[in-house]
Parts: sequence; structure tokens; C-alpha cells
Amino acid sequence: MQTIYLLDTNIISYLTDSNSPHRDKIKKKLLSLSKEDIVSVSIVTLYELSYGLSTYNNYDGSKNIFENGIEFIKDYLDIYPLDVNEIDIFGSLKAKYKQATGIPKTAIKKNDLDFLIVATAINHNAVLVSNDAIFSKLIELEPNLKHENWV
Amino acid sequence: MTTLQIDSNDKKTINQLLDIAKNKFHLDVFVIEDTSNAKVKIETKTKWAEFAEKMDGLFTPDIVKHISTSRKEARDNFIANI
Repeated sequence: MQTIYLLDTNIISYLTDSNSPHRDKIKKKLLSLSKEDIVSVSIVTLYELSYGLSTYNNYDGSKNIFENGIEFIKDYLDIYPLDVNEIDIFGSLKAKYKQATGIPKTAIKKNDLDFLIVATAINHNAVLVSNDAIFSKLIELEPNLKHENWV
Repeated sequence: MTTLQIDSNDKKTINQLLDIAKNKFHLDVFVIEDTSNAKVKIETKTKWAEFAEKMDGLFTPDIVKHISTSRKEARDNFIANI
């Protein structure tokens, strides 16, 4: 049976970081996947990485490494763009989260990208892989969300 | 030259038969192992194992640190008016 995994940005970061204590666990999980499985990222993750690249001011040549790394991810993984089917999921989820947590209007803005990523995962019936604590909360509010933490 | 075919996977049996042949018939024995029909387990890397290897060290620690900071910046007020 094919499973689709949607990797959040933090999982990508751990995997690329030789110093990360989480790297081996994530690698081990990837090794256990079958070739039929799909590993993907949301276009939101690429927005974040692109913003990171644009604001990276290290001139020792590592900017090229950064740029090539993003190109590699774009070439190797499936990339899910935002989709009209995700509109209602986003709106409903954000409202549920606001009601459940009582989070102030200004603070919830920081989670908008998380809601977009969740909407994409649900739309594609993908397992969202992330180490962010918010997804453990969102899974309680949205039963259609499948979440795994490989860390 | 005479060809003697031993159809067996049991090394012990093969060696016993070869010893008999050598001793009884005073033969010089050359062993050719035919593995053409053998089920040889070849471990091939899956696409995801290859991906994991290529991702390892893809970014420098400095880049990863920067992503951590810039990611938070990118998320703050991304959709300011919703």
C-alpha cells in the first residue's frame, strides 16, 4: 500500500544537518519506506527555504550550497502547491484552533503557514511529518489529519 | 575430459562425492560452480535510502541555523489580515 508523506521544514533541516541529533532517526525511517511510497513537501516549505536563501548573507561560497540544496529538493521530491480544495480546510481549522486555545488574534497569525500545510496534507491524504508541537494539538481538532513525528 | 554434474546445494554432500571420485578413480578434479539458476539476493537501495544519503550534509550547519531563524520570520504575519 502506497503512503504519501509530507515533510515539514524542520524534518528537512534535521536531515541535511550533519550535527543534528535527530538525523539518524529520520534517515532510518526513510530507509524503511518502500519505493512505492511518496515523499513530498508543501510549496510553503519551499517558500520558507527561498526566503532563507534570499536573506542569507554568507559570502564564503556556501550560498551556492544553499541554492543547490534547494534545487535538489525540488528535483527529488513531489511538491504540493496550494489547492482550491484546501480553502475550507484552512478556514475551518484556523477557527477551531482559535476557539480551542483562546489564542489572541495577533498570536495566531504565526500559525497560518502551519494551517496551510495541514490543509495540503489532508487534501492529499498524506501523513504530515513534523516535530512541531502544534500538530499534536491540531490532530485533536481535525480527525482527518494524519501526523507522525519521526524525531 | 569427462564432465560430472552434481546437482546439489549441499557443500558437504558435494565434497563427499568429490572425495569419492578422486580416491576411487584417481581423477584430477576442477570445480566449476554454476550459479546461473541460483537465487542471489541483491540488495538494491530504494529511492528513499538514496534520498536520505544525498540529503545528509546537503546544507552546512550555518545554513541550517539560518533556516531555523528565517523560517520563523517567514511564518510571522505571513497572512496578516486573515
